Amino acid sequence: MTTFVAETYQNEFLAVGATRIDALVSVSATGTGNIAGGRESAELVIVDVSGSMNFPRTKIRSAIAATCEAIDCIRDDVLFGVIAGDDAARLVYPGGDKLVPASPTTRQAAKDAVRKLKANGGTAIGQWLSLARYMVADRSECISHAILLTDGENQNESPEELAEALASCEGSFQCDCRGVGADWVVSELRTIASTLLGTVEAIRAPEDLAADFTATMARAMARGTGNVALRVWTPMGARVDLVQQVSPTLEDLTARRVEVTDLEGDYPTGAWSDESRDYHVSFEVPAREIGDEMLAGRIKLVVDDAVVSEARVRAVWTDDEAKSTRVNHELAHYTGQAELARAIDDAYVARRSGDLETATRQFGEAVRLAHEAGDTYKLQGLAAVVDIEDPATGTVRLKQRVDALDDLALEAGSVKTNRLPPTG
Amino acid sequence: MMDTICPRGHPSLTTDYCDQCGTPIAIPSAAAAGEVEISSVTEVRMAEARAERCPACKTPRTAGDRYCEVDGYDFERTSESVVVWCAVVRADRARFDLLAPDDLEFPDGSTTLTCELDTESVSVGRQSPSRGIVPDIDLGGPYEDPGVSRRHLRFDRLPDGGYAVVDCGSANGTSINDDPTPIQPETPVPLVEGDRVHLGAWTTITIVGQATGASTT
Repeated sequence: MTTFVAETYQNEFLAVGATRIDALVSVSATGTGNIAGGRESAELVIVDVSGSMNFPRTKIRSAIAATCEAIDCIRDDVLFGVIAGDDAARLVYPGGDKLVPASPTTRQAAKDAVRKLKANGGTAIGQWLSLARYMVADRSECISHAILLTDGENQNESPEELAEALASCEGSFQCDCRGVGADWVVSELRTIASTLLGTVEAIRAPEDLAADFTATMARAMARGTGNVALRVWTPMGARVDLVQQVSPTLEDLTARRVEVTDLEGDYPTGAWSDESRDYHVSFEVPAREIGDEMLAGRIKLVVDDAVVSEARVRAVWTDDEAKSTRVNHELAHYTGQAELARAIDDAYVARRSGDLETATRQFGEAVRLAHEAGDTYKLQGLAAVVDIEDPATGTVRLKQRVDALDDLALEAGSVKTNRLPPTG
Repeated sequence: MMDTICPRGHPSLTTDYCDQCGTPIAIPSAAAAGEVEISSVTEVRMAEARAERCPACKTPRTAGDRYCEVDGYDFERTSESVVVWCAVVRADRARFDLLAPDDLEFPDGSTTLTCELDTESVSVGRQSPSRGIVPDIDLGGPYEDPGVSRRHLRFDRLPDGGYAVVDCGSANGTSINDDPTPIQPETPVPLVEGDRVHLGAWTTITIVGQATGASTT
């Protein structure tokens, strides 16, 4: 049986006249992989076969090998297909225009077709996504997922064409994006993954692709519960200011609200495996008197429109400053992680526009925050890009020469957050 | 099915906190210790008999006093029900498509705002800190409707407890329901349940009255 548990971490005390209330809502799911009661799945592998995949030649070879590994991970009876993308998109497997159920025979046939792929032509990711959407269009009962691999920038269509294709795909399938080599653009893949509720990873060496595809596919196969949303209720006169996933990655869901009633809205979160995700929610509520209590928000977990769990966010007005100024440990941790991610993103935006002064300052701020939070993973990534003189004050110098792969890894990884170790 | 009534007089389908205003109904908490914490309607009524509160401002009634010491509510008035009026503000796509000039963009993703009408007069406009204008319902900021005047209209309470809309001499006027003719400035127009008040480039305010059985007997 699928079980969702939602817990709230917050300081519910507000000073007199205060109207903003913040909370961390932690959601854990178990029993999602129950296949018997689970939903049908569809799986697509979208692989870049543009001409640049030939340089070095290992890229296309590794992509083919990784795609074959991914195909091997597809469970029996899951509907699947493989799309090859250059300046157009075509279905490499199966023949015809319908996905087929996985079996030893179909998996072998798919691998045979993939091994014949040649790299040639340009890059038009919008076309690849549109074909993927077409393939799952009449399969709305399925949990549909895709892995998209590319090595370059979207060059053979306009940003508007990509945006339009992407918008039409929203909600029809989830997509994890992988960039290989040094010529792809983090912001481009992040926009795609973010809209399609997926992740972005930088794959340093082509040889690492197979391991990542296997892991990504395993995660997708484990997602047995689809169509999960946060349904957020607020009282009259109040409004939701922020709904942001803060773990395992940062993802702002605020703009994804779909109104349910005057006081309730849904924030889609896609399919779930047995996992935990944390959300930062903020409410703006009408102020009340000292001693008054109000339910500022109710956060319900909704699976296919049925409520399976709920967490409550309370507000209590007090004149006791010791209470109202207390900082919630969990919330503060993730606020720090979000600031760190923003500093890294801002640093790259500044560096690209040639504003090295701002870039240096933002990288320094990132170093200071990572140091403060004991985030050794990000600190390591930062150390590959800047020379750190004093981590405590965030004094850094930009390195004269930076390996492009280090930049991509740090930029793509900025949204990954450290989970807070449980405290007593 | 009888709804639970919250301490502020709203009927609520949830029994822990009111599903309209979020006021606790049944949940014990440190802050609410000593307050009414009972779930079923009968028990709420019994509790009211023990510690009667003003339905408007929640102040406990001083034993023997007829009027609430804070807002003068008449505990002994005989009306059977109290009607809570709300203004539901939303960005109205249909109106925008009909009227707005081409260079404006419809605010996709904006939320519906529900405001309780609970004072003698509730003003609607766009705030201007420099001019000291802070409307009760602010259509500036995140709800920014450029066609709304700083002081656009107000809802005035009528002797029967209902509300009338009064245009404050706004630049672009105010209209009601399907009648495109703007209402006269400074002339109250009484509203009934479900009336739609149109203002600005896309704003529609629907007036919703909910009768609550919160009479004090």
